[in-house]
Amino acid sequence: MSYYQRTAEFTSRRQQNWSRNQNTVAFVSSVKLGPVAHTVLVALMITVLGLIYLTQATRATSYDYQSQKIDSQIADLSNQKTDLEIENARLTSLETVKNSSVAANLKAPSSTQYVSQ
Amino acid sequence: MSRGGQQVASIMGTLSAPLSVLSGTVRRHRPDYMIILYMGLLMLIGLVMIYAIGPQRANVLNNSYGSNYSDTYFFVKQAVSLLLSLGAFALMAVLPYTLITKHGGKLLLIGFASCALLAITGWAHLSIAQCSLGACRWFDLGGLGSLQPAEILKFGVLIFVAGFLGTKVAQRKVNDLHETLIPLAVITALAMLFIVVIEKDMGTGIALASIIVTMLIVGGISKKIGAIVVGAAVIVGIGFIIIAPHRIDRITTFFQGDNTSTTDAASYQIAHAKIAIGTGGWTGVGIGNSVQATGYLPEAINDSVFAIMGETFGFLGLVAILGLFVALLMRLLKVMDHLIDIRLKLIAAGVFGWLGAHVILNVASMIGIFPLTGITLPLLSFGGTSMIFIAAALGLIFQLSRYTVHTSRLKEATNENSSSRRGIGRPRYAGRSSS
Amino acid sequence: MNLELQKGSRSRILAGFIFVIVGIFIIRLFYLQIIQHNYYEGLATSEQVKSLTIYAKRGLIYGLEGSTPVPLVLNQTVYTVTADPYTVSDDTKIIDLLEQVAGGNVQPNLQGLLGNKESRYAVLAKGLTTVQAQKIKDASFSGIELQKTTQRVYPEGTLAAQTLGFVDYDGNGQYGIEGKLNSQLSGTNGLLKTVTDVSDVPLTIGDKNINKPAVDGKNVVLSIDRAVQSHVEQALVDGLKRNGGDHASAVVMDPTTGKVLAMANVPSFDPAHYSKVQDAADFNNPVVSAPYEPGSDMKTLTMATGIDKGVVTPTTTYNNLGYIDIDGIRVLNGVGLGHLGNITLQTAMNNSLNSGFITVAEKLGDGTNITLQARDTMYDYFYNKFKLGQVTGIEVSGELSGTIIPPTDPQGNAVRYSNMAFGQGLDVTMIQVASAFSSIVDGGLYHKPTVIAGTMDASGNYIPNQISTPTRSVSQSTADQVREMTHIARGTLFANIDRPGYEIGGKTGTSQTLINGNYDNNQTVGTYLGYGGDSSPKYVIMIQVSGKNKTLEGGRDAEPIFADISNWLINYLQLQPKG
Repeated sequence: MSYYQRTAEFTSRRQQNWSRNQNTVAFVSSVKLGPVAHTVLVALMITVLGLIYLTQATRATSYDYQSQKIDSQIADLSNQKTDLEIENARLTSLETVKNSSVAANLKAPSSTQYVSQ
Repeated sequence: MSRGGQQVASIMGTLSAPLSVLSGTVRRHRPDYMIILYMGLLMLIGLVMIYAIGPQRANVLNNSYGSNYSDTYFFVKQAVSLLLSLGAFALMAVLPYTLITKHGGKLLLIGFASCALLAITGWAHLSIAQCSLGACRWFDLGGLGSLQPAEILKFGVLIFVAGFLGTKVAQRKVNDLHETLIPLAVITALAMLFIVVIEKDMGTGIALASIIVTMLIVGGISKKIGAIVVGAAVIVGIGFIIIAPHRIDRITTFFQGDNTSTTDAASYQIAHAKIAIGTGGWTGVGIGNSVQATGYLPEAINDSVFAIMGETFGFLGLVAILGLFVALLMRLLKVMDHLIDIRLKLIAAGVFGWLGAHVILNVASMIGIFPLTGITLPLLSFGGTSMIFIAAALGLIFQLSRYTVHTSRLKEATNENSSSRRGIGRPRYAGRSSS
Repeated sequence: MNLELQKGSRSRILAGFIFVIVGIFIIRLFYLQIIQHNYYEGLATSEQVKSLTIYAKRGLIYGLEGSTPVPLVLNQTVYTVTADPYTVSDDTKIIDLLEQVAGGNVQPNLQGLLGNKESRYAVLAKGLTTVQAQKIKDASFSGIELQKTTQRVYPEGTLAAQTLGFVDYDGNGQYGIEGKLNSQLSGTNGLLKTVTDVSDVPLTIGDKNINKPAVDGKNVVLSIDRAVQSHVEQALVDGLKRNGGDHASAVVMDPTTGKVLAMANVPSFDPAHYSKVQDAADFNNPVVSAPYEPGSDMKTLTMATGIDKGVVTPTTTYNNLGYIDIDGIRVLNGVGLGHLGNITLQTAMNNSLNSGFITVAEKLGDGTNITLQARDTMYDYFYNKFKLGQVTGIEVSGELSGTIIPPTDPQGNAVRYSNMAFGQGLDVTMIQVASAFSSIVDGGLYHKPTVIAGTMDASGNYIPNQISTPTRSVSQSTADQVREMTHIARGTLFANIDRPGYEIGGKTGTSQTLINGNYDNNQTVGTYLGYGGDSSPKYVIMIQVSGKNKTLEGGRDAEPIFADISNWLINYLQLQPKG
């Protein structure tokens, strides 16, 4: 059957359906890709999917470094806080208060009286 | 006549034809797309690896040098190299190969010149040359990245020697001492001078030697002379090792066996490469879970990437990757085998030797059966120059694969009796591809 | 894959070569990855997995000021500067910077330490604050490292040092609260065992990582009142200057709850520099750990025993001969006390006449002898009801129980018990006596003495403790009568010292010390045990002074300190005068 030109694009499934009155015509798109192109496309799609998976999988490791930084910041800040608390305790301690200039200006009362209401 | 005999006869027949006619006698056909497939798969796997371990490499560098690499810096760079390599591949695939084979000599001279330039700028301590430990191997082109002139030299040697040796083989003078071997030895010696002595890059030297030896083997050198050549190469190699003390160190640490000492740099790298591979098991620890890449294994993204892949993908993954490399190499052999022009055959043989040497040296040093040579794994390692040149070489072979000659195995073509449909298979239509 | 390599061509050799080598690779990979997998995993784990102890924060110790907690002991992060002299190169620059930044904390002979280039470790300075350490870190010399440690810091200086105790170099509490409550204060260390990268950054890779957080120590709030403690310590120092003694101790309690408001001893020590103390005896808290013969303070307890048993009342009379003979031993009253003839027990109490109390002991028996029944009664009251001769369970370390010899012991005969009636012949600690007296002051309810007022949680909220349920030592009316007796006793001797409108009472005590088994008249311990309050008793104070070869008396030497503290406490507690 080599004397006719292919006009319409169709594939014949005659060989698969030898019984009569079977519709053996299917229409095929005009864009044809060879098998290698198919393989390449499939490989690309798999890679893209793999990269999407990777995007989520490797997020965790970079968070590790961020959390390490934040941890050390927290440690520094709580160190500062305890240092301030110690300073506060020192400044409000009895010795400091007794020796402060405010205390020097206080006088001890000579007598205390209570008034009943 | 058997099929093989027919083939040999046709090749010998064409060899006796004048050389200038050779390129015109074979009709162009569809090239071997499987080369693209294998190369592409390898490049994509490399990209995936760099995406996974890039952030860790950036962190290691940031912590130790205070630099400021972002997490995607290495991935972006590798993607750019990938695109450049594909561009180089495409360029070499469409540029007529005669352009390249005709100017083999000029390419060689450019190679030598660039190496000499590097050496001079290195002596003069200009900033364009990137030097470490007294040896300058790179041109630092600032924003454009870096360029390794040794790769240009390798490419130039490959093209030139393929042409030169091809001519000699066609003249049946391959075994001749004066015509063939001595000029070859001179070129090799000069190239080795630049690469091994001035740049102190033993790994690249071994790769160059294996390119030349492969070409000699395919060129049909006689067994006796071949043995002498190989023997001489080994002796020279040992000589180079003895001259350089750091190479002796590497040999001694290698022969100390399965040590896991962490004192000197080479044994540290081998030890950690083996730890990385060993922890992989059957299927590896998974992408992104590689711990060795977080800074324990030096050169995790270029030289040692095979070990990291071992940790990430496990035994099955490594077998698959080795399989891809073997498939690519076999494809090259097939192309080489079916090329008629001896010079083109030798080009294919050279590329085979190049790729094969890199893969074998890198993998062998990673698994501890050969000392470290600092050679990169083609297409998978991070590094633009190496990938671009390998892609260019593969592009050239891709183009050459259009000119292969295949005998048809169809019964109809070999004049066998095809009245029975046995062995004929499906009907073949014009336009449908055959493989 | 259809290679179609030519037969007999060199390409087959090459292909074969590649296959052989890759085959070797695969075999080697199989060996490394499958057969030696566990070996390499072990190597990887030992290199990558790092165990870090997460140190628990030691609990802080607070005191009270009124009802607000104030910090007494806090934790401070300090840094130690160490060097690896082998790798250090800028010796002089380092020494200059250290002396400029942390002059007081550097070790001696820095040049020598750094100059010894053989050594790999030398401590250059200790106790640097964060600010100082940051300056050293910024200079970033090679071979110099900063190590972080925590140490206890005392914002109130030496206040209540012996009660607080200190923490030694190994982190163990010693003496005082730090010692007794060490396990509560220490907390539990946590563990972080994880895969790390090269610079010890923990990674979330792997499924065997352990992160057990540390359990910090509990913060305790002491019942010690900062202002009271400070005034008491000052009063003791002033008192010793006046009377020339060597040692003084005081304890101030709240009789209604058993809470100790102050517990002070002189000499004391500086807990911030505990290693500089020469005599380890200074660490001890004699209030709880130095049993002594209490002397006349005990007479209140003897009286209470008698009244509670109904055998005597404060107005019961007896004939005071100046001595009493027990089983052939003549027990004398104190020298020159007088009041011979028929006197009431109240007079005996006022003038501290031993004979009166031996009489009470006799009356507990058959009237003339201190029979076994009398001794049993006395032992029952002293030991079981007043809890003398036992540890009180107060929360400081080093508490001793003292000794009361029971009547069943051959040593527990009538002579001994006659001595016990006026406070010799038994060993008790100050806290036991003060607590027993507090029970009398509080209407016969014995509260276990405690130095803990509550805890402070992590967010700074003060959670007071429950008050423990008291036990009954004597009946309410007994307690009231004995209390009134001490009130009257004080009124006869020290009336003008106290501020008007407040009810203050107490008992002097002068006890002889046993030296080499014999009572020595040349060394006596002076005590004063008293209470004070407005409409109801609010505080109990006990003072003790002593000195080597010094005869210190309760009335002359200890009482002034009592008055000092008592008058001050009235103002501090804002007590209003009665009527």
